[in-house]
Amino acid sequence: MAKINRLLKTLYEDPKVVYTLLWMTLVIPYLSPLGLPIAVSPRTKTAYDTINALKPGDVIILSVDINAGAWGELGAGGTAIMRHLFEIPGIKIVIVNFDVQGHIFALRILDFIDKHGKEYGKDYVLLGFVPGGKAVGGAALASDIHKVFQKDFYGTDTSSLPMMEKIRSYKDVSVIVDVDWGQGTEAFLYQWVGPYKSKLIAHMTSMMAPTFEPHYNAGNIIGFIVGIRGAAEYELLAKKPGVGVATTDALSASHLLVVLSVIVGNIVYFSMKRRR
Amino acid sequence: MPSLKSREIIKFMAAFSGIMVIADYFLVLPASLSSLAKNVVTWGLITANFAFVLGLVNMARLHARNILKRVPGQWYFSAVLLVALIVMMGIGIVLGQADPNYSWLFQNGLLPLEGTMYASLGFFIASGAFRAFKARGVDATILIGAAIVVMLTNAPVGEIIWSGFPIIGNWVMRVPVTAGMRGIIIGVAVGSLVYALRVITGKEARYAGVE
Repeated sequence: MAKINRLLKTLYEDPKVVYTLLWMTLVIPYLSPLGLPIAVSPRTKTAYDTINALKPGDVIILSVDINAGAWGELGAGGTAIMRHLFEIPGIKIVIVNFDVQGHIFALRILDFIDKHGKEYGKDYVLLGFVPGGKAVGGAALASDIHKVFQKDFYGTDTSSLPMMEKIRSYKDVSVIVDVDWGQGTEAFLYQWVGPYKSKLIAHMTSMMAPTFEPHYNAGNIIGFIVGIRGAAEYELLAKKPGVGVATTDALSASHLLVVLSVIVGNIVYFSMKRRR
Repeated sequence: MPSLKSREIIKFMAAFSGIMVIADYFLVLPASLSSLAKNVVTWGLITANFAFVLGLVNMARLHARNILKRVPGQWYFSAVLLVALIVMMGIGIVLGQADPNYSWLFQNGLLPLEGTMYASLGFFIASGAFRAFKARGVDATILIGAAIVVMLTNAPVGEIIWSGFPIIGNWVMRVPVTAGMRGIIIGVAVGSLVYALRVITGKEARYAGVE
C-alpha cells in the first residue's frame, strides 16, 4: 500500500509521467489500430445527406477557415467534405476564407484530392481571404461577391471567370459549407442565415462546438460535423475511411486517459488530505 | 485627443454609416440610397484593410524598438519575428501567395510550429486533469461529472463502456449547454445593440479617442 501511495504521489508531483502516458496513448493506436466501432450521429448524417442531395447547377460557398493549429482536427474533415463535393457532378464551388491562413489549407486539400474533371473557373474558384472580419466581411460577401473579390486568389478578374457570371450574391448560393474554428461560422450565421435564411453546414473543432450548439438546436446550422469524431463519421458515410477514422482510436485512448487521470487524481488528493 | 471639429466629423460618420446600413436592412429604400448603403459596407472592407496595415506597422515598430534597446529576454525573439515577417511578406508580395516558395515556407515553418503549440495543450490538459481537477465541492463535482460524460460521448470508447454515456452526454449538450450558451449569446447581442445605439446617437465615442 505504501508503495502504491508513493507511486501515486510521484505521479501527482511529476507531470512527466502523465505526459509519457498521453504520448503512448496517442502513438500506440496509430501503430496498432484498435478498430473501435464509430456510431454516426444524426448531425453528421444530415450534413452528408444535404451535400449528397445537391443537384447540377447548385452553387456552394465553401469557406475553408483552417489555421495551422486547427489543421490536426479539421484537416481530415475538410478533406472528406471537399472530396465529396468534387464528386458531385455539375455543382459550382466557390472557395473563400475568413481566416488569413485558410487559402493555404484549401490549396493543400485541392492538391491532394481527385477533382473528377472539374475545371478551375468553370466548376470551382478560389477567391481567397474575405477582409473586414465576420461582420463587415460577411455582410459585404452576402450583398455582392464581385465587389469583395474583383480578382480571384490568382489575380484573374472575377467577372472573367465563366462560373462567376451568374454568381453574384447570397441569392445565387444553395448551401454554405464552413470548415472552421469559429471565425467564418459567425459571419455566415449572422450575415447570411439570420437575414436571408441561407442553409449552413458547419465542421468545427470540438472546443468550439458548445458555442454553436444553440444554433444547431435552433436549426440555424442544419448539419454539424464536430471535431475529428465528426470527420471520422463523414468518412464512413462517404465509404472512404481516412485520417479521421485512423485518429479516432487515439482520440478514444487519450480521452480515456484524461478521465482516468481525473479519477486517480481525486483519489490521490483525498487520500493525501485525509492523511494530513 | 482629436479637435472638436474632427470629433464631430467622426461621430457623424459613425452615425451615418450605422443608420444607412440598418435602414437598408429594415426598410425598402430608393435604389440610390440602397446602393449608397451597400457602398458603406464596401468602405468598411477598405477601412478594415487599412487596419491590417496599421497593425503591421505598430507590431514592426514595437519589435524594432525591442531590438534597438536590446531588451533583455526579448530582443532575440523580436528579431526572429521581424525576419520571419520580412521574409514571408517579401515573398508574398514579390512572388505572390500562390508561389511554391511561399507555400513551402508556410507548410514547413509555421504549420509544424503552430501545430506543435496547439498539440502541446493536450499534455497540459492531461496533467491539469490529474493535478487540478478536484471534486472540492458540489459545483466542482457536477462539473467533473459533466466533463467525464461529455468526453466519453465524444470518444467512441464511451459507448463501448456504457451505452448510456452518449444519451446523457447529448442531453448535457442539448439542454444545459444550449441554455447557458443561449443566455450568453442573447446577452452579447443585447450589449452590442445598446453599444451600437450609443455610437449612432453620439453618446459613445471612445473608439475615436474621446472619453
